[in-house]
Amino acid sequence: MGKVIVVTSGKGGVGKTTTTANLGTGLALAGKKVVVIDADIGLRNLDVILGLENRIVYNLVDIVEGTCRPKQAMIKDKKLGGLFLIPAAQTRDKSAVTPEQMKELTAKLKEEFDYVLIDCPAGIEQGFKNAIAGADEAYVVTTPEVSAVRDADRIIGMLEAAEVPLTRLVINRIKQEMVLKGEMMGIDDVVEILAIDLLGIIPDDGEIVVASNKGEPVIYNNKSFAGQAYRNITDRIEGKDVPLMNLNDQVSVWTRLFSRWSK
Amino acid sequence: MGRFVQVKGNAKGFAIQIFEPEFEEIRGELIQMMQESKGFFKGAKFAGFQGRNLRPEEEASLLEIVESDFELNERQEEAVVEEPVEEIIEPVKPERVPLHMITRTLRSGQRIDVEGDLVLMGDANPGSILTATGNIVVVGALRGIAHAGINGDDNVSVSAYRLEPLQLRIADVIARAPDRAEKDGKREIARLNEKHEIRISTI
Repeated sequence: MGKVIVVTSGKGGVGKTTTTANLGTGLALAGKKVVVIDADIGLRNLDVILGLENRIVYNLVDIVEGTCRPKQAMIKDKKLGGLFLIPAAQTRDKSAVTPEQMKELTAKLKEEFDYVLIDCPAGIEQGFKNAIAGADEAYVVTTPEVSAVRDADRIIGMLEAAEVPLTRLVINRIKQEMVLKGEMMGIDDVVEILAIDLLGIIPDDGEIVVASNKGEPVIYNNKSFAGQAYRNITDRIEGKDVPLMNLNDQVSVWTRLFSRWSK
Repeated sequence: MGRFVQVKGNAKGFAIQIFEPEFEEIRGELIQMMQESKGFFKGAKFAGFQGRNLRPEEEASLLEIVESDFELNERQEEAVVEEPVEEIIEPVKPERVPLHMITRTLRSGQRIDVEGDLVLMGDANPGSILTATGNIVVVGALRGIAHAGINGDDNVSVSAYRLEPLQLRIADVIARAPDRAEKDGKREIARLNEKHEIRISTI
Protein backbone atom coordinates (compact mmCIF):
# COMPACT_ATOMS: atom_id res chain seq x y z
CA MET A 1 0.00 0.00 0.00
CA GLY A 2 1.45 3.32 -1.06
CA LYS A 3 1.19 6.80 0.38
CA VAL A 4 -0.83 9.78 -0.82
CA ILE A 5 1.09 13.02 -0.35
CA VAL A 6 -0.29 16.44 -1.18
CA VAL A 7 2.10 19.29 -1.91
CA THR A 8 0.43 22.53 -0.89
CA SER A 9 1.19 26.10 0.18
CA GLY A 10 -1.72 28.50 0.24
CA LYS A 11 0.17 31.23 -1.54
CA GLY A 12 0.87 30.86 -5.23
CA GLY A 13 4.28 30.95 -6.82
CA VAL A 14 6.28 29.51 -3.95
CA GLY A 15 7.30 26.34 -5.78
CA LYS A 16 4.61 23.70 -5.25
CA THR A 17 4.67 22.44 -8.80
CA THR A 18 8.46 22.47 -9.02
CA THR A 19 8.63 20.58 -5.73
CA THR A 20 6.05 18.02 -6.86
CA ALA A 21 7.92 17.45 -10.14
CA ASN A 22 11.28 17.09 -8.44
CA LEU A 23 10.16 14.84 -5.62
CA GLY A 24 8.20 12.67 -8.05
CA THR A 25 11.28 12.39 -10.23
CA GLY A 26 13.55 11.80 -7.24
CA LEU A 27 11.40 8.99 -5.84
CA ALA A 28 11.16 7.39 -9.28
CA LEU A 29 14.96 7.66 -9.61
CA ALA A 30 15.17 5.79 -6.32
CA GLY A 31 13.26 2.96 -7.97
CA LYS A 32 9.81 3.71 -6.60
CA LYS A 33 6.60 3.59 -8.57
CA VAL A 34 5.20 7.11 -8.52
CA VAL A 35 2.20 8.90 -9.96
CA VAL A 36 1.97 12.68 -9.81
CA ILE A 37 -1.46 14.29 -10.13
CA ASP A 38 -1.97 17.87 -11.23
CA ALA A 39 -4.98 19.02 -9.19
CA ASP A 40 -4.73 22.58 -10.49
CA ILE A 41 -7.63 22.19 -12.89
CA GLY A 42 -7.79 25.07 -15.34
CA LEU A 43 -4.22 26.24 -14.68
CA ARG A 44 -2.17 23.19 -15.32
CA ASN A 45 1.62 23.44 -15.08
CA LEU A 46 3.02 20.16 -13.87
CA ASP A 47 3.03 18.69 -17.38
CA VAL A 48 5.12 21.63 -18.57
CA ILE A 49 7.69 21.33 -15.79
CA LEU A 50 8.00 17.61 -16.52
CA GLY A 51 8.17 18.27 -20.26
CA LEU A 52 5.14 16.09 -20.98
CA GLU A 53 2.70 18.66 -22.30
CA ASN A 54 2.67 17.31 -25.84
CA ARG A 55 1.63 13.84 -24.70
CA ILE A 56 -1.67 14.78 -23.03
CA VAL A 57 -4.78 13.10 -24.39
CA TYR A 58 -6.95 12.47 -21.33
CA ASN A 59 -6.87 14.18 -17.97
CA LEU A 60 -8.03 14.05 -14.36
CA VAL A 61 -11.55 15.22 -15.14
CA ASP A 62 -11.88 12.57 -17.82
CA ILE A 63 -11.03 9.93 -15.25
CA VAL A 64 -13.55 11.07 -12.64
CA GLU A 65 -16.26 11.54 -15.26
CA GLY A 66 -15.61 8.08 -16.61
CA THR A 67 -14.61 9.25 -20.08
CA CYS A 68 -11.48 7.12 -19.82
CA ARG A 69 -9.87 4.56 -17.55
CA PRO A 70 -7.21 5.90 -15.12
CA LYS A 71 -4.50 4.00 -17.02
CA GLN A 72 -5.36 5.84 -20.24
CA ALA A 73 -4.86 9.27 -18.67
CA MET A 74 -1.54 8.39 -17.09
CA ILE A 75 1.40 9.72 -19.05
CA LYS A 76 4.63 7.82 -18.66
CA ASP A 77 7.71 9.96 -18.06
CA LYS A 78 10.22 10.49 -20.86
CA LYS A 79 13.09 8.88 -18.97
CA LEU A 80 11.79 7.06 -15.93
CA GLY A 81 9.69 3.94 -16.26
CA GLY A 82 8.31 4.33 -12.73
CA LEU A 83 6.98 7.87 -13.05
CA PHE A 84 3.49 8.74 -14.32
CA LEU A 85 1.56 11.97 -14.64
CA ILE A 86 -2.18 12.51 -14.46
CA PRO A 87 -2.57 16.00 -15.94
CA ALA A 88 -5.23 18.53 -15.07
CA ALA A 89 -7.96 19.54 -17.50
CA GLN A 90 -7.26 22.93 -18.94
CA THR A 91 -10.74 23.75 -20.23
CA ARG A 92 -12.60 23.10 -16.98
CA ASP A 93 -12.49 24.51 -13.46
CA LYS A 94 -12.05 23.23 -9.90
CA SER A 95 -15.74 22.36 -9.49
CA ALA A 96 -15.40 19.63 -12.14
CA VAL A 97 -14.09 17.31 -9.40
CA THR A 98 -15.37 16.65 -5.87
CA PRO A 99 -13.37 15.67 -2.77
CA GLU A 100 -15.16 12.29 -2.72
CA GLN A 101 -14.06 11.55 -6.28
CA MET A 102 -10.46 12.47 -5.45
CA LYS A 103 -10.54 10.28 -2.36
CA GLU A 104 -11.80 7.37 -4.40
CA LEU A 105 -9.20 7.86 -7.12
CA THR A 106 -6.21 8.23 -4.79
CA ALA A 107 -7.32 5.23 -2.74
CA LYS A 108 -7.32 3.17 -5.91
CA LEU A 109 -3.97 4.54 -7.08
CA LYS A 110 -2.11 3.87 -3.85
CA GLU A 111 -2.88 0.19 -4.17
CA GLU A 112 -0.68 0.14 -7.24
CA PHE A 113 1.85 2.93 -6.64
CA ASP A 114 4.35 3.53 -3.85
CA TYR A 115 3.72 7.26 -3.92
CA VAL A 116 0.79 9.32 -5.13
CA LEU A 117 1.94 12.96 -5.22
CA ILE A 118 -0.72 15.63 -5.64
CA ASP A 119 0.14 19.12 -6.83
CA CYS A 120 -2.37 21.31 -5.02
CA PRO A 121 -3.59 24.58 -6.49
CA ALA A 122 -3.00 27.85 -4.61
CA GLY A 123 -5.84 29.09 -2.44
CA ILE A 124 -8.10 27.51 0.14
CA GLU A 125 -11.20 26.85 -1.93
CA GLN A 126 -12.59 23.88 -3.79
CA GLY A 127 -9.33 22.99 -5.51
CA PHE A 128 -7.50 22.80 -2.19
CA LYS A 129 -10.27 20.71 -0.66
CA ASN A 130 -10.14 18.32 -3.60
CA ALA A 131 -6.38 17.97 -3.41
CA ILE A 132 -6.19 17.17 0.30
CA ALA A 133 -9.24 14.90 0.40
CA GLY A 134 -7.42 11.58 0.31
CA ALA A 135 -4.01 12.66 1.62
CA ASP A 136 -2.03 10.63 4.15
CA GLU A 137 0.59 13.34 4.37
CA ALA A 138 0.92 16.98 3.40
CA TYR A 139 4.08 18.84 2.49
CA VAL A 140 3.63 22.55 2.99
CA VAL A 141 5.92 24.61 0.78
CA THR A 142 6.77 28.15 1.78
CA THR A 143 9.40 30.76 1.01
CA PRO A 144 11.00 32.85 3.76
CA GLU A 145 8.67 35.77 3.11
CA VAL A 146 6.15 37.04 5.62
CA SER A 147 3.19 36.67 3.28
CA ALA A 148 4.07 33.11 2.26
CA VAL A 149 4.63 32.09 5.87
CA ARG A 150 1.30 33.64 6.85
CA ASP A 151 -0.50 31.64 4.18
CA ALA A 152 1.38 28.48 5.10
CA ASP A 153 0.21 28.95 8.69
CA ARG A 154 -3.38 29.23 7.52
CA ILE A 155 -3.02 26.12 5.38
CA ILE A 156 -1.49 24.12 8.24
CA GLY A 157 -4.49 25.07 10.37
CA MET A 158 -6.84 23.85 7.64
CA LEU A 159 -4.88 20.61 7.24
CA GLU A 160 -5.18 20.04 10.98
CA ALA A 161 -8.91 20.70 10.80
CA ALA A 162 -9.19 18.24 7.91
CA GLU A 163 -7.29 15.73 10.03
CA VAL A 164 -4.50 15.05 7.56
CA PRO A 165 -2.32 12.72 9.67
CA LEU A 166 1.11 14.28 9.04
CA THR A 167 2.17 17.73 7.88
CA ARG A 168 5.78 18.58 7.08
CA LEU A 169 7.45 21.77 5.97
CA VAL A 170 9.60 22.60 2.94
CA ILE A 171 11.26 26.01 2.90
CA ASN A 172 12.04 27.02 -0.64
CA ARG A 173 14.08 29.74 -2.31
CA ILE A 174 16.27 30.69 0.62
CA LYS A 175 18.74 33.43 -0.21
CA GLN A 176 21.38 32.71 2.38
CA GLU A 177 23.30 35.90 1.62
CA MET A 178 20.26 37.92 2.57
CA VAL A 179 19.64 35.78 5.65
CA LEU A 180 23.21 36.42 6.84
CA LYS A 181 22.72 40.13 6.36
CA GLY A 182 19.49 39.98 8.34
CA GLU A 183 17.41 40.96 5.31
CA MET A 184 15.48 37.71 5.03
CA MET A 185 13.84 35.38 7.52
CA GLY A 186 16.05 32.44 8.37
CA ILE A 187 15.05 28.79 8.67
CA ASP A 188 14.72 29.09 12.45
CA ASP A 189 12.40 32.08 12.17
CA VAL A 190 10.06 30.23 9.83
CA VAL A 191 10.07 27.01 11.83
CA GLU A 192 9.44 28.90 15.03
CA ILE A 193 6.22 30.38 13.70
CA LEU A 194 4.91 27.35 11.85
CA ALA A 195 5.91 24.84 14.53
CA ILE A 196 5.84 21.69 12.37
CA ASP A 197 8.51 19.18 11.30
CA LEU A 198 10.97 20.47 8.74
CA LEU A 199 11.30 18.13 5.78
CA GLY A 200 13.84 20.16 3.87
CA ILE A 201 15.30 23.45 2.74
CA ILE A 202 15.99 24.52 -0.82
CA PRO A 203 18.31 27.37 -1.67
CA ASP A 204 17.39 29.94 -4.29
CA ASP A 205 18.97 28.68 -7.50
CA GLY A 206 18.77 30.02 -11.04
CA GLU A 207 19.18 26.45 -12.30
CA ILE A 208 15.56 25.79 -11.34
CA VAL A 209 14.33 28.27 -13.93
CA VAL A 210 16.61 26.75 -16.55
CA ALA A 211 15.40 23.27 -15.67
CA SER A 212 11.73 24.25 -15.78
CA ASN A 213 12.14 25.85 -19.19
CA LYS A 214 13.76 22.69 -20.48
CA GLY A 215 11.05 20.47 -19.00
CA GLU A 216 13.67 18.52 -17.10
CA PRO A 217 13.51 18.76 -13.28
CA VAL A 218 16.56 20.24 -11.56
CA ILE A 219 17.03 17.07 -9.50
CA TYR A 220 18.86 15.57 -12.52
CA ASN A 221 21.45 18.35 -12.31
CA ASN A 222 24.30 17.17 -10.10
CA LYS A 223 25.92 20.59 -9.97
CA SER A 224 22.85 22.44 -8.75
CA PHE A 225 22.43 23.15 -5.03
CA ALA A 226 18.65 23.02 -5.45
CA GLY A 227 19.02 19.65 -7.17
CA GLN A 228 21.02 18.39 -4.20
CA ALA A 229 18.42 19.76 -1.81
CA TYR A 230 15.67 17.83 -3.62
CA ARG A 231 17.77 14.67 -3.56
CA ASN A 232 18.16 15.11 0.19
CA ILE A 233 14.42 15.53 0.64
CA THR A 234 13.76 12.42 -1.44
CA ASP A 235 16.09 10.47 0.83
CA ARG A 236 14.27 11.78 3.91
CA ILE A 237 10.89 10.75 2.46
CA GLU A 238 12.40 7.32 2.03
CA GLY A 239 13.22 7.33 5.74
CA LYS A 240 16.95 8.07 5.54
CA ASP A 241 18.50 10.42 8.05
CA VAL A 242 20.12 13.18 6.00
CA PRO A 243 21.33 16.37 7.71
CA LEU A 244 20.09 19.73 6.49
CA MET A 245 22.19 21.32 3.78
CA ASN A 246 24.69 23.90 5.00
CA LEU A 247 23.59 26.94 3.05
CA ASN A 248 26.61 28.96 4.17
CA ASP A 249 28.77 26.90 1.81
CA GLN A 250 27.08 28.60 -1.10
CA VAL A 251 27.76 32.09 0.09
CA SER A 252 31.03 33.77 -0.86
CA VAL A 253 33.72 33.93 1.77
CA TRP A 254 33.54 37.72 1.73
CA THR A 255 29.85 37.82 2.50
CA ARG A 256 30.29 35.36 5.34
CA LEU A 257 33.15 37.35 6.83
CA PHE A 258 31.20 40.57 6.44
CA SER A 259 28.16 39.16 8.17
CA ARG A 260 30.29 37.98 11.07
CA TRP A 261 31.83 41.41 11.50
CA SER A 262 28.60 43.26 11.22
CA LYS A 263 26.92 41.21 13.98
CA MET B 1 0.36 59.17 76.40
CA GLY B 2 0.66 56.28 78.73
CA ARG B 3 2.57 53.08 78.25
CA PHE B 4 -0.39 50.78 78.75
CA VAL B 5 -3.33 52.97 77.96
CA GLN B 6 -3.91 55.35 75.09
CA VAL B 7 -6.80 57.53 74.19
CA LYS B 8 -7.57 57.64 70.49
CA GLY B 9 -10.08 59.81 68.70
CA ASN B 10 -12.21 58.61 65.84
CA ALA B 11 -15.51 59.53 64.27
CA LYS B 12 -17.44 57.82 67.05
CA GLY B 13 -15.65 59.68 69.79
CA PHE B 14 -12.65 58.79 71.92
CA ALA B 15 -11.67 55.19 72.41
CA ILE B 16 -9.36 53.98 75.09
CA GLN B 17 -6.82 51.52 73.84
CA ILE B 18 -5.42 49.01 76.27
CA PHE B 19 -2.10 47.21 75.72
CA GLU B 20 -0.89 45.80 78.97
CA PRO B 21 -2.27 42.51 80.18
CA GLU B 22 -1.76 43.39 83.90
CA PHE B 23 -5.11 44.83 84.89
CA GLU B 24 -3.89 46.66 87.99
CA GLU B 25 -1.27 48.54 85.99
CA ILE B 26 -3.87 49.51 83.44
CA ARG B 27 -6.21 50.71 86.11
CA GLY B 28 -3.48 52.71 87.79
CA GLU B 29 -2.39 54.37 84.63
CA LEU B 30 -5.96 55.16 83.62
CA ILE B 31 -6.66 56.84 86.94
CA GLN B 32 -3.49 58.89 86.58
CA MET B 33 -4.35 59.78 82.98
CA MET B 34 -7.80 60.99 83.89
CA GLN B 35 -6.42 63.13 86.67
CA GLU B 36 -3.81 64.65 84.40
CA SER B 37 -6.32 65.38 81.66
CA LYS B 38 -8.14 67.67 84.12
CA GLY B 39 -11.50 67.47 82.50
CA PHE B 40 -10.18 67.63 78.93
CA PHE B 41 -12.58 64.84 77.91
CA LYS B 42 -15.53 66.48 79.69
CA GLY B 43 -18.62 65.94 77.57
CA ALA B 44 -16.73 64.04 74.89
CA LYS B 45 -18.26 60.87 73.52
CA PHE B 46 -16.73 57.64 74.70
CA ALA B 47 -16.27 55.02 71.98
CA GLY B 48 -15.29 52.16 74.24
CA PHE B 49 -12.21 50.17 75.08
CA GLN B 50 -9.99 48.64 72.41
CA GLY B 51 -7.08 46.27 72.25
CA ARG B 52 -6.92 43.74 75.02
CA ASN B 53 -10.15 41.91 75.81
CA LEU B 54 -11.51 42.85 79.19
CA ARG B 55 -13.51 40.71 81.49
CA PRO B 56 -16.91 42.25 82.39
CA GLU B 57 -15.87 43.16 85.96
CA GLU B 58 -12.64 44.72 84.64
CA GLU B 59 -14.55 46.78 82.12
CA ALA B 60 -17.02 47.93 84.81
CA SER B 61 -14.13 48.94 87.03
CA LEU B 62 -12.48 50.96 84.24
CA LEU B 63 -15.76 52.57 83.26
CA GLU B 64 -16.08 53.92 86.78
CA ILE B 65 -12.80 55.76 86.32
CA VAL B 66 -13.75 57.42 83.07
CA GLU B 67 -17.46 58.03 83.72
CA SER B 68 -16.93 61.32 85.44
CA ASP B 69 -15.40 62.77 82.26
CA PHE B 70 -17.01 61.03 79.31
CA GLU B 71 -20.63 60.89 78.30
CA LEU B 72 -20.98 57.21 78.87
CA ASN B 73 -24.52 56.75 77.76
CA GLU B 74 -23.54 57.26 74.11
CA ARG B 75 -21.30 54.27 73.75
CA GLN B 76 -23.30 51.09 74.26
CA GLU B 77 -22.94 48.36 71.65
CA GLU B 78 -20.92 50.46 69.24
CA ALA B 79 -18.11 50.39 71.72
CA VAL B 80 -16.03 47.67 70.10
CA VAL B 81 -16.26 49.03 66.56
CA GLU B 82 -12.71 50.00 65.60
CA GLU B 83 -13.19 52.25 62.59
CA PRO B 84 -16.39 53.14 60.88
CA VAL B 85 -16.71 51.17 57.67
CA GLU B 86 -17.33 53.92 55.19
CA GLU B 87 -16.54 52.34 51.81
CA ILE B 88 -18.83 49.59 50.75
CA ILE B 89 -16.87 46.60 49.55
CA GLU B 90 -18.43 45.05 46.46
CA PRO B 91 -19.82 41.70 47.35
CA VAL B 92 -18.04 38.85 45.58
CA LYS B 93 -20.15 37.71 42.68
CA PRO B 94 -21.54 34.33 43.52
CA GLU B 95 -21.21 32.87 40.01
CA ARG B 96 -17.58 32.01 39.20
CA VAL B 97 -16.09 33.27 35.96
CA PRO B 98 -15.12 30.16 34.04
CA LEU B 99 -11.49 29.69 33.08
CA HIS B 100 -10.85 28.21 29.67
CA MET B 101 -7.54 26.45 29.26
CA ILE B 102 -6.66 25.64 25.67
CA THR B 103 -3.51 23.85 24.53
CA ARG B 104 -2.70 24.26 20.85
CA THR B 105 -1.07 26.50 18.27
CA LEU B 106 -3.61 29.01 17.04
CA ARG B 107 -2.90 29.64 13.36
CA SER B 108 -3.81 32.31 10.85
CA GLY B 109 -7.56 32.35 10.26
CA GLN B 110 -8.38 30.54 13.48
CA ARG B 111 -10.10 32.10 16.45
CA ILE B 112 -11.09 31.30 19.99
CA ASP B 113 -13.96 33.14 21.69
CA VAL B 114 -14.72 32.43 25.33
CA GLU B 115 -16.99 33.64 28.11
CA GLY B 116 -14.69 34.15 31.08
CA ASP B 117 -10.91 34.06 31.25
CA LEU B 118 -8.76 32.45 28.58
CA VAL B 119 -5.40 30.73 28.99
CA LEU B 120 -3.78 29.60 25.76
CA MET B 121 -0.91 27.17 26.17
CA GLY B 122 0.85 27.66 22.83
CA ASP B 123 1.41 30.36 20.26
CA ALA B 124 -1.23 32.58 18.70
CA ASN B 125 0.16 33.28 15.25
CA PRO B 126 -0.38 36.39 13.11
CA GLY B 127 -3.87 36.38 11.63
CA SER B 128 -5.41 34.57 14.60
CA ILE B 129 -7.95 36.12 16.98
CA LEU B 130 -8.48 35.52 20.68
CA THR B 131 -11.45 37.04 22.49
CA ALA B 132 -12.62 36.71 26.09
CA THR B 133 -15.08 38.51 28.32
CA GLY B 134 -12.36 38.36 30.98
CA ASN B 135 -8.56 38.21 30.93
CA ILE B 136 -6.34 36.61 28.31
CA VAL B 137 -3.07 34.87 29.14
CA VAL B 138 -0.92 33.35 26.42
CA VAL B 139 1.71 30.93 27.64
CA GLY B 140 3.68 31.29 24.42
CA ALA B 141 3.97 33.98 21.78
CA LEU B 142 1.00 36.24 21.12
CA ARG B 143 1.40 37.45 17.52
CA GLY B 144 -2.22 37.76 16.45
CA ILE B 145 -5.06 39.89 17.79
CA ALA B 146 -6.24 39.60 21.38
CA HIS B 147 -9.41 41.21 22.71
CA ALA B 148 -9.96 41.02 26.46
CA GLY B 149 -13.13 42.32 28.09
CA ILE B 150 -15.09 41.98 24.90
CA ASN B 151 -18.36 42.80 26.70
CA GLY B 152 -16.93 46.07 27.98
CA ASP B 153 -15.20 45.00 31.19
CA ASP B 154 -12.20 47.35 31.30
CA ASN B 155 -10.61 45.89 34.41
CA VAL B 156 -8.99 43.04 32.52
CA SER B 157 -5.55 42.36 31.07
CA VAL B 158 -3.80 40.64 28.20
CA SER B 159 -0.50 39.01 29.03
CA ALA B 160 1.90 36.73 27.18
CA TYR B 161 5.29 35.12 27.47
CA ARG B 162 6.11 36.99 24.28
CA LEU B 163 3.80 39.88 23.68
CA GLU B 164 4.16 40.70 19.96
CA PRO B 165 0.54 41.20 18.93
CA LEU B 166 -0.65 42.81 15.73
CA GLN B 167 -3.35 44.44 17.78
CA LEU B 168 -4.44 44.56 21.39
CA ARG B 169 -7.99 45.35 22.36
CA ILE B 170 -9.19 45.84 25.90
CA ALA B 171 -12.89 46.62 26.32
CA ASP B 172 -13.49 49.34 23.72
CA VAL B 173 -9.86 50.47 23.38
CA ILE B 174 -7.71 49.35 20.47
CA ALA B 175 -3.93 49.60 20.26
CA ARG B 176 -1.83 48.43 17.36
CA ALA B 177 1.77 47.30 17.27
CA PRO B 178 4.29 49.97 16.33
CA ASP B 179 5.07 49.96 12.60
CA ARG B 180 8.68 49.13 13.35
CA ALA B 181 7.89 46.35 15.77
CA GLU B 182 10.77 44.84 17.66
CA LYS B 183 10.84 41.09 17.39
CA ASP B 184 12.18 40.35 20.84
CA GLY B 185 8.83 40.19 22.54
CA LYS B 186 9.15 40.01 26.30
CA ARG B 187 6.98 38.69 29.09
CA GLU B 188 4.55 41.54 29.34
CA ILE B 189 1.08 42.49 30.47
CA ALA B 190 -1.27 45.05 28.90
CA ARG B 191 -3.87 46.90 30.94
CA LEU B 192 -5.87 50.10 30.77
CA ASN B 193 -4.57 53.03 32.79
CA GLU B 194 -6.64 55.79 34.45
CA LYS B 195 -6.80 57.67 31.17
CA HIS B 196 -8.31 54.64 29.50
CA GLU B 197 -5.23 53.96 27.39
CA ILE B 198 -3.60 50.59 26.87
CA ARG B 199 -0.31 50.45 28.75
CA ILE B 200 2.19 47.63 28.68
CA SER B 201 4.52 46.64 31.47
CA THR B 202 6.90 43.75 31.99
CA ILE B 203 6.02 40.97 34.37
